Amino acid sequence: MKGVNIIGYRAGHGLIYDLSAVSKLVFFLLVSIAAMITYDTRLVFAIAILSLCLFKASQIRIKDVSFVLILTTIFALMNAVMVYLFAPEYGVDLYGAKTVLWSGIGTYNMTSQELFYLLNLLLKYFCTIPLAVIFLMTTHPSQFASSLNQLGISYKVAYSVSLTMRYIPDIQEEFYTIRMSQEARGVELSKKGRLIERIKGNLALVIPLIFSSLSRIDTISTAMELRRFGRNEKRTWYTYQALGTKDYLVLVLALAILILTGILFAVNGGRFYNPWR
Amino acid sequence: MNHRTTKSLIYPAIGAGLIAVLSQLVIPLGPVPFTLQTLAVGLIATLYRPKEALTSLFLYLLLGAIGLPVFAGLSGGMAALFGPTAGFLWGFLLYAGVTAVLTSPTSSLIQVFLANLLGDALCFLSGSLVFSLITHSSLEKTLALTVLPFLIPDLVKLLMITMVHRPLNRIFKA
Repeated sequence: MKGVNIIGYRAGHGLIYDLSAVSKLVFFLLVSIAAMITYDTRLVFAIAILSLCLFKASQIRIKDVSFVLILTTIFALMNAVMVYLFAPEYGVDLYGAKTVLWSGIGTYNMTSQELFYLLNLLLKYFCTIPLAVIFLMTTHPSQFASSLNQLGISYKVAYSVSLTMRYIPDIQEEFYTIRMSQEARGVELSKKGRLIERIKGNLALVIPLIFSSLSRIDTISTAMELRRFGRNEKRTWYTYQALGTKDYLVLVLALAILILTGILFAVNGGRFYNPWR
Repeated sequence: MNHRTTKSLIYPAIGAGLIAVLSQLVIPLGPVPFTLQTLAVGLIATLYRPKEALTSLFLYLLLGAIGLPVFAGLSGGMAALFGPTAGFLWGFLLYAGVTAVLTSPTSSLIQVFLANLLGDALCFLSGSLVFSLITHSSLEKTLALTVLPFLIPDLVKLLMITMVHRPLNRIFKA
């Protein structure tokens, strides 16, 4: 983990940066929901292409996010492998046809239908992950909180969200500081140590980490109150951004994708697009 | 807005941050990944009041849903909340709720251990049921992969929570 830069906001310019956090969040949620619900390969593929185009348009450098993308890809592949191992012929049940490409032991044949189903699963990741990265890296945490408030969530709850996003890097930094201090005192944390020693070592990390994190709470809450947080039912936002024409166009596009998902349910007679029917 | 209310906003924020950071830590013990994610959830459930424990987990799941890589293995995204292992993530809510209700700052060690054991068991129940549904496999195969390998590591984590919670509880009396 040391040195790993968890993806977060990077200042930048361009169309996507100029959009309100509200429209970006709503677009992300609606399109992600659409991609999760449907198994119509044509729609999922189109959404994936849209996501990748937006990713390119956002000017996010691949190297900034490559570590996370690699891990997410591995995670997605592991999911697909798990589905195959546990239900090798689920695709056959779904699509009502069986085209064996490779005969395995018992039911572990590799069929076109199973591959097609797993392809759908993987494509969904290409829909949601680029959108998530775009949203996170082009939206300032304070803007994120104000966008939640604009969507109707209490500003106090919305503020908790931006607090968490701000504290994750602080807690990480605290963790590394504590670990280096303990290792300097001879605590064994690496693979070379014995099991019991490593468990004790990690306890020696966790206890001070939690102490320092929780002891922050008093300081933070007092400082917030001294600045009159929570005094009124509503508040203004320094990072407030009104919806513009572009924002409404983005929202219309998101709704269109969701409605298209519903239409395809009717056309396909269900969630699945079946090329073998 | 009084001091208690402000604090009740910050507890979940710090709690979610702690779970996010500890979820990324892996103690290398061979084939089964021993992450501190469950440990973090158990500690938050034990130390916090029920309302704040549940809010911490909701915040954590929300951040994961929008794509922050806060789940174990630096994964995240809406797909993780609907994939084969989604039941474990949602099961953390059960874990936090049940354990927080059953523990208090004055709970005995046995009470804390049993409350965490019950919470963890509910989490595994939720996780294995959802896994079985999503991968369309039998319960026996599911249990063999998603529960049995984690029994001993999770018992170790429950013992760690039990040992750790008493000194940490002093914070809440201060």
